Amino acid sequence: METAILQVFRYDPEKDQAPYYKEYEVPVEGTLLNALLYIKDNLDPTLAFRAFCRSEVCGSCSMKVNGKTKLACKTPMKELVETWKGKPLRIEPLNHMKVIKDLVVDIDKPIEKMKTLIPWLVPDPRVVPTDPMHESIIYPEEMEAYKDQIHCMLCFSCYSACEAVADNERYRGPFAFSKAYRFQVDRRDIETAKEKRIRYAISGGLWSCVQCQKCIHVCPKGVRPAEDIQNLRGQAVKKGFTDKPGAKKLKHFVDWIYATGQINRLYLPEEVYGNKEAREKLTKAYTEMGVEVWEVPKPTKGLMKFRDIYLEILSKEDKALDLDYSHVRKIDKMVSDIFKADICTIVDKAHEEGRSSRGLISKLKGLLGGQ
Amino acid sequence: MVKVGFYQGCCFQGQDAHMFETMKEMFKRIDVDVVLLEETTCCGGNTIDEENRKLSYAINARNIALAEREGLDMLVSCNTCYMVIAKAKRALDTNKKLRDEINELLKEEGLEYKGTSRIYHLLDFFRDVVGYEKIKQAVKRPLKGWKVVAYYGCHVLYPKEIAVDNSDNPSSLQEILKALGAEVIDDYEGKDACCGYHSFFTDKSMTLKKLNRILGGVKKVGADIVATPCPLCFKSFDIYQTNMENPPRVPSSFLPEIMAYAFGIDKDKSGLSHHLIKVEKE
Amino acid sequence: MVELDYDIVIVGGGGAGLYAALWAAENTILKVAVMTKVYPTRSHTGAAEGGINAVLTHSVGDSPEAHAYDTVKGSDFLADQDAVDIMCKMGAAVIYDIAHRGVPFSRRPDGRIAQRPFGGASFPRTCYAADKTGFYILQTLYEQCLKNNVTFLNEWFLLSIIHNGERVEGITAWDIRNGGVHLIKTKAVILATGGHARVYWNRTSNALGNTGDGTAAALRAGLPLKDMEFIQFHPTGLAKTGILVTEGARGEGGYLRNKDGERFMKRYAPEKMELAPRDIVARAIQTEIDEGRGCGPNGDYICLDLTHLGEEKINERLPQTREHAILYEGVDPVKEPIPIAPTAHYSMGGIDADKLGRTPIKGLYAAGECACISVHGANRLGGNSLLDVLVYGRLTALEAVKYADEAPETNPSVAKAKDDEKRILELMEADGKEKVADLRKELGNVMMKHFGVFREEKSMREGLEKVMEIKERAKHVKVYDTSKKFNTDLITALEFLNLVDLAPAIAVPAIERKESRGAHARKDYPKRDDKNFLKHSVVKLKEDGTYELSWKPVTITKFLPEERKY
Ligand SMILES: Cc1cc2nc3c(=O)[nH]c(=O)nc-3n(C[C@H](O)[C@H](O)[C@H](O)COP(=O)(O)OP(=O)(O)OC[C@H]3O[C@@H](n4cnc5c(N)ncnc54)[C@H](O)[C@@H]3O)c2cc1C
Ligand code: SF4
Ligand code: SF4
Ligand code: FES
Repeated sequence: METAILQVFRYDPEKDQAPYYKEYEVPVEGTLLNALLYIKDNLDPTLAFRAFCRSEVCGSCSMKVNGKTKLACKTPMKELVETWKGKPLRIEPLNHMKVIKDLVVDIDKPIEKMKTLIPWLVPDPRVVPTDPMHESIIYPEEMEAYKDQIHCMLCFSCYSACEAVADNERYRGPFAFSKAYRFQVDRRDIETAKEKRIRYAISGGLWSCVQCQKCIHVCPKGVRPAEDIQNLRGQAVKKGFTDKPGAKKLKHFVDWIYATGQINRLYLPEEVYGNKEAREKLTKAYTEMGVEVWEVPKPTKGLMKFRDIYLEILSKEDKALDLDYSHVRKIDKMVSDIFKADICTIVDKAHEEGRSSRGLISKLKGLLGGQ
Repeated sequence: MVKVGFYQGCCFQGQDAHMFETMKEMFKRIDVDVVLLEETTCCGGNTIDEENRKLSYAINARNIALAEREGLDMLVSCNTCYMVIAKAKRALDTNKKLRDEINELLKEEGLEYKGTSRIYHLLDFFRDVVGYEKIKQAVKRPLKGWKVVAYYGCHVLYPKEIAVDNSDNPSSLQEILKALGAEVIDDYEGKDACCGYHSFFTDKSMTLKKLNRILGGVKKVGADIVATPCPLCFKSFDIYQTNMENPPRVPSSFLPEIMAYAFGIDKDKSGLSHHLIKVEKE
Repeated sequence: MVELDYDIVIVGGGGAGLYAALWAAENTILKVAVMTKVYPTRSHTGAAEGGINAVLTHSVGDSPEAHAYDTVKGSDFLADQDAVDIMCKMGAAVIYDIAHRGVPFSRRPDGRIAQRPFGGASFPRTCYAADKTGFYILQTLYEQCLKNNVTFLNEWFLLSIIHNGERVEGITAWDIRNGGVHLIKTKAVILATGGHARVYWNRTSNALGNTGDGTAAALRAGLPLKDMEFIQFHPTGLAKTGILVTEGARGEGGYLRNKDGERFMKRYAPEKMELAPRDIVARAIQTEIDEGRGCGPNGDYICLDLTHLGEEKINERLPQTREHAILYEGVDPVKEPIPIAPTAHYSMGGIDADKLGRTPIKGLYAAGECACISVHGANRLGGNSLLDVLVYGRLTALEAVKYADEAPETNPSVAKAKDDEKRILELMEADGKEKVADLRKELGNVMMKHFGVFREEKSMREGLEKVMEIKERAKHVKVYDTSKKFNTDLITALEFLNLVDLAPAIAVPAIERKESRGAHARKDYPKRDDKNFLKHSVVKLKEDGTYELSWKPVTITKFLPEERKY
C-alpha cells in the first residue's frame, strides 16, 4: 500500500515547553481526515484534532498542510502527495488563533468578532409579518443575491489564510463580512440594521482588506468573502461613508477610468491622501533617471464609445450619478492641455463618424458643461 | 513567430510607457510578436468592482473582445489585471444572460465578446507557449551568481479557478529564473504573504507591515534581488518600500526586466536601472 | 469542585437544542445555558439535506390530518397519535417562524415556500432549502441565538444526570477545553443530544459523535428508553463510507437499478417505486444484494442512477450529492450511477418522553433524536425528524420554562461528580488490554451483522452474547492521553462506552419483538403482529447491570392499524 509521511504539529501547553513535530506513516487513501483518524486509531490516540461530520458540512476539520489551509475531510491524500511531489506533509493548526492543543485552536475570538457585525436577520416588519401563521413572500430571484454567502459553515479557513487578519488585530475576518453582507442584501432586513452593519464593518477593518483573494481560494464552501467585501465597500460609499482613503481611491478609479480609460497613479496620492509631494517626488526621481513622466495617461483610442458603455451600465444600475462630473471635467481639461487636443473634438469626431450615441453622448456633453 | 495580443493595463502607461518597447524586444528574442491592443482600457484594477461588478465585467468583455477582433489570444502582464480579466471571462462564459446583455452594448462599437481568445498571464505563457528551453536558449548574459528570490504575488495563484499554476506549490517562476541561470530561492519567511499593493490607498499601514514581513524574509536569506511576475508587486517593493520607516532597501525586479537583461538587452533599456531602489548586481 | 448554577440547561446544540434555547431565551428571564460537546453549528442537524415536512397554508389538498395519517402509517402504527397530532398541527407555525428568522427556504416562482415529494408522503409537503435544509436551519438558529445572547457552554461533555427519584437536580459534565469534571446545578434539563446510530460504527450516515451520550446518561440514571430496537437504515449510503445520499436524489427522479439494470423497486412497491418509505426501499436493496443481484465485483451495492436528470438539474437541486459522490466515492453522478447500500441512519428509539417531551423525572425533558416521544414509531418518514426536532425543541423549552419558574431550588450532591472523576481516573489507569478503536469496530460489525436490516432469533441471540462480551471487555480499555486539555482520547473512550451501554438496549427488545414492524424486519416473523406487539418496548438498566424489558401501550386516537402498502 502506498504510504506518506505526515509531520504533525504537536503541542500540549501543559506539558510541552514548545511545539514539536511528530512523524506518522499513513496510507495514501481517502482524505486527509481518514489519515488522521488512522493515526488516532492505530498509531497514537493522544493526537488531538477536531472532526465531526466527515463529509464537509460541519466545518470542524480545517488545518494547514505545508502552510496551506485545507479542510481535512475534503482533501484527498492522493492530491496532497501529487502536489507536494513526495515531500513530507507538515500538518499544522490554523493561523491567528491560539492553539489549545495539537491541531485544535481557539475559535471563540473569530466568533466574537463576527458577532459585532450583526450576523443575523433583523426583520423589517413591513416585509416580515409578525403573525407567525403568515408567510413572508420571497421570490427565488431575490435569493440569488446571497446564495453563496449562506454556505458559510464557520470553518475559519479564510480567517486563518487572511492577510488582513494577519496584520490588523481588529479586522473582523473574511467570513464575518460575508455573513454580514448576506443580510445587507436581504429585503427582509431592516434599513437601520443595514446602516449599522456598514458602520461596524468600517470600524472592523472593511478598508483593510488587501484583496489577496486567499479567502475565496481556501473557502471549502464557495463563499467569496473578498468580493463581498468589495460589495460592502460599494455600499459604504453609497451610504455616504466617503471620508476613508479607500472611498477616495474608489472615486479616483470611477472618475479617471471613465474620463480617460485609465487610472492615474501619479495623482492617486494627492486625490486620496492630499499628498501633493508624492507626485513631485516621483516625477523628480523619474526625470532624473531619464524617464519621461506623463501627467496623465493617454486617453484610450475609442474613448467616447467606451464612455458610452460605461455610462450605460451605470445608468442601468441607477448609478450614473456616482460619477463626479466636475471631476471628470477637470480631468478633461488636464488631458486637453497636455495632449493639445480638445476632448470635445474627439466627441464631435465620434459624431462625425456617425456612430450613434444613444443620446448619452449629448447627455454627457450637457453634463460636461454644454461645450 | 507566435503572435499574441498584448494587454497593457495601467503598468505600461505614463512614466512606464517605455517598458512596452523593452517587452517587445524581449519577446522578439523568444520568437513572440506582441501586438499592442491599443484600444483596451484599464481593467478596473479590481476596484471598479466595488462600484459595480457588472461594469468591471463590461469593461473587460470589451478588452477581451478587442483581442478577439484581432483573432489573437491575450497576454496580460500583470497579476491583478490577469485575475480581473480571467474572472470576467469566467463570468461571461458561464452566464449567458450577462454575456448577451454586455454584447448588446458592445455592438455599438462593432465589438462582440465570443469567448474565443485565451487569456494568458506571463507565467503560463512562458511555460505553455514559449517553453523553458527556448528561454534558456535566448539567454546571452546568464544570471550567474545572482541569488534571486521568486515571489509570485497573489492574483496568479488565487482564487484557484483562475490560477495559472498549482496554487499550493507553484513552480513556473522558479523554472523561468533557473532558465536564466540564476540561483533561485523559493523558501523564505513571508513568501506566501501578500505584497500589500492594493491596500496602500485603503489602509497604508497594512502595506508597510506586509513589506516588512516579505522584505525582511528576503534580507534574511541574503538574496540579491526579488523577481516577481507582477508589476504591481514590483511597484510595492520598489516604490512603497521607500515609505517604510527603515526601508531594508531590497532591490526588486519585474520578471520581464530581469529576462530582458539576461537576454542581453542593455541594462539601461531593460528597465532595471530605472528603479528607486537600485539594482547593483551586474 | 467548580459549581455552575442555571435554571435551565439544554444539553445539545443541534436543531432541537438551539430552537429550545431560542424559545427559552425569548420567553423567560431565567438563566438558560446550552451545553454542547461540539460547537453548535457543527451538530449533526447540519448534515440533514432533504428537507422538513409541514403542511403549509398554501399546500392545496393537503392537511395536517393527512400528514398525521402518513406519519402514523409510516410508523407502522407504532407512533403515539396524540403526539403525532401535535407535531403535524404545529408544522406551518414552525416553518414560518424559522423562515421569518432567515432560513432561506427554496421558493416557488410566486414567492411561497416550495415543497417537494418525499418518501411515504401522500402530498408534496417537504419544504427544503436546496439540499442543505438542516445546514441552513442550524446556521440560522445559531445566528438567532447569538442575537439573543444565549449562554453557550461549547465543548462541554455531559457525563451524568442527577435526580432524586422525583425531580432533576443537576448534571455533571467534563469541560473538554480545560479538562475537569463540573457539577452543574439546575432546575430543569432538556436533553437534546441527538441519535445513536454510531452503534453501527462502520456503516452509518451519522457524524463521528452521534454516540447517544444523552440517551446513555439517561439510561444510567435509571430512566426508561423506549422502542430502542428500531433503527432506521437509510437505503442510500455511499457504498464505501456510509455517507448519505439524500432521499432528495430519488425525490428528484433518481432510479435504483440492480446489476441487470432493472428498476427493481417495481417488484417491491409498484406504485411508489423509488419513493416508497425508507424501510421498504432499504429492505428491497438489501434483498437484491443478498440474492446476488448487487452490482460491482463483490455484488455488495446497488446503483442509484441520476444520469437522466442532466447536469443542470443535478447542479441546481443536488449539488452536495454530486460533490460527495465525487469526493468520497470517486463517481460523478452526471456521468455514472452512484454505488449505494443501506446505512444506519436514524434512531427512532430513545429516552421515553410523553407528548410534551416530559420524562418520568420532573424537570427532565427530551427533544429531538435522543427522545422517543414517539412520533416516528417503528419507522420515521424522511423530513419528519427536523419537524420533530423543532416542534419538540420549542415545546420542551416552554414546558421547562413553566416548570423552572416555579420549581424549588435544587441541591445536587457532589457524589455523582466524584464518581465521574473516579471513573475517568480509572480509565486512565486501566490495563489497556483492549483498544477502543478495535472494540468499537467489532461492536459495529456485530450490530450490523446481527441487528442490521434483517434480523432473526438465533442470530440475534448470538449477537447479544457478543455484545455483552464486548461490554465486559470494554472494562479494559485505557485512555492513553492523561492530559486535561482537549483530551480527545478520553472523549472517544467515553463515547464508546456510551455506545456499549446502548447496544444491549437495542438488542434486548429486538429479540423479544417477535414480529416485523417498520424498521424491525425479522426473517423468522415476517408479519406485523398487532395482537401481541402493537406496543412500545421499554428498557431500563438495573443496578446489577442487566437490562430489564417491559411494554407500554401505544396511543391510538384516529387511525386504526391497517396493512402498510405503498
Ligand atoms: C445525513 C443525514 C441526513 C438527514 N436528513 C434529514 C432530512 O432531510 N430531514 C429530516 O427531517 N431529518 C434528516 N435527518 C435526521 C435529522 O437530521 C436528525 O435527526 C436531527 O438533526 C437531530 O437533531 P438533534 O437536535 O436531535 O440532534 P443533533 O443535531 O445531532 O445535535 C446533538 C447535539 O447534542 C450535543 N451532544 C451530544 N452528546 C453530548 C454530550 N455528551 N455532551 C454535550 N453535548 C452533547 C452535540 O454537540 C449536538 O450539539 C438526517 C440525518 C442524517 C444523519
Ligand atoms: S482578500 Fe481580504 S478578506 Fe480575503 S483573505 Fe485577503 S485580505 Fe483577507
Ligand atoms: S467563508 Fe468559507 S472559509 Fe470562511 S469560515 Fe465560511 S465556510 Fe469557512
Ligand atoms: S469533519 Fe466536518 S467539515 Fe470536516
